[in-house]
Amino acid sequence: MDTQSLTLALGDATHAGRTFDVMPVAGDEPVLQVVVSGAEETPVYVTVTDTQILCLAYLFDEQELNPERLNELHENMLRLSVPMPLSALGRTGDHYVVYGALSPTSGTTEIMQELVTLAENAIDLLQTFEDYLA
Amino acid sequence: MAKKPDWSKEEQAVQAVQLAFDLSNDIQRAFRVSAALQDMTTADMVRKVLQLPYRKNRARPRLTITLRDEDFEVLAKKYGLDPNDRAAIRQRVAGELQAFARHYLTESDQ
Repeated sequence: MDTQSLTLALGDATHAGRTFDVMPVAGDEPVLQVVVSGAEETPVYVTVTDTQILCLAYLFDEQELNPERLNELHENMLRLSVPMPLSALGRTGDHYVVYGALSPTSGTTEIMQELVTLAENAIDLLQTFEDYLA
Repeated sequence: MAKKPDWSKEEQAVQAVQLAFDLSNDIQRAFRVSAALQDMTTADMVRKVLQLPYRKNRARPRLTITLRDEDFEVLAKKYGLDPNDRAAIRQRVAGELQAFARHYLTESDQ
């Protein structure tokens, strides 16, 4: 699966009543921004490498957080990351993210399942961690 | 860790996502700001850039918010009014918003 065939496959697809709005983002490496219907506030970014299909949604930046409660937040993130379906929590630069990785041989159904779950998880996490925002 | 695994390709992919995220945020902001400056909706601004038909002027410039029951409670407390006297609360809200706009316009003239 590459980003081009993924763009075509998602454009007309429906999964669990959701549709996908795919926008390729210009750059050296192809990245797709996928908006899942019903979860428009948390777009999912998708890249494909030889080893994995990485799907990632942005939650918040470190500057947005209450510094005094940072340790408590990290602890809760580590704990929640394990039971959370199909996704894990992490960080890139100053951004806290939720992500899921799939095998590059995954089919469209698995990818759609991942995208829907990830976008929903991102919304749930934003609500869960609301108290930690500054 | 004795030997760091070579995940440089994956690292590059993460960086690419980061760039894409920053770019799409910047693009969205540019559209919101330019739309506001030209007194247009963001959707019309997108249509203008794409040279699709769009409304030149807003049909009716609106500044409305939907106040919920709990908002009326908060505002009544703030203004020292009865929460059921919604007309009076709305009037105070309009006054406060006008005062903000006047202040903002004076400030940005300077």
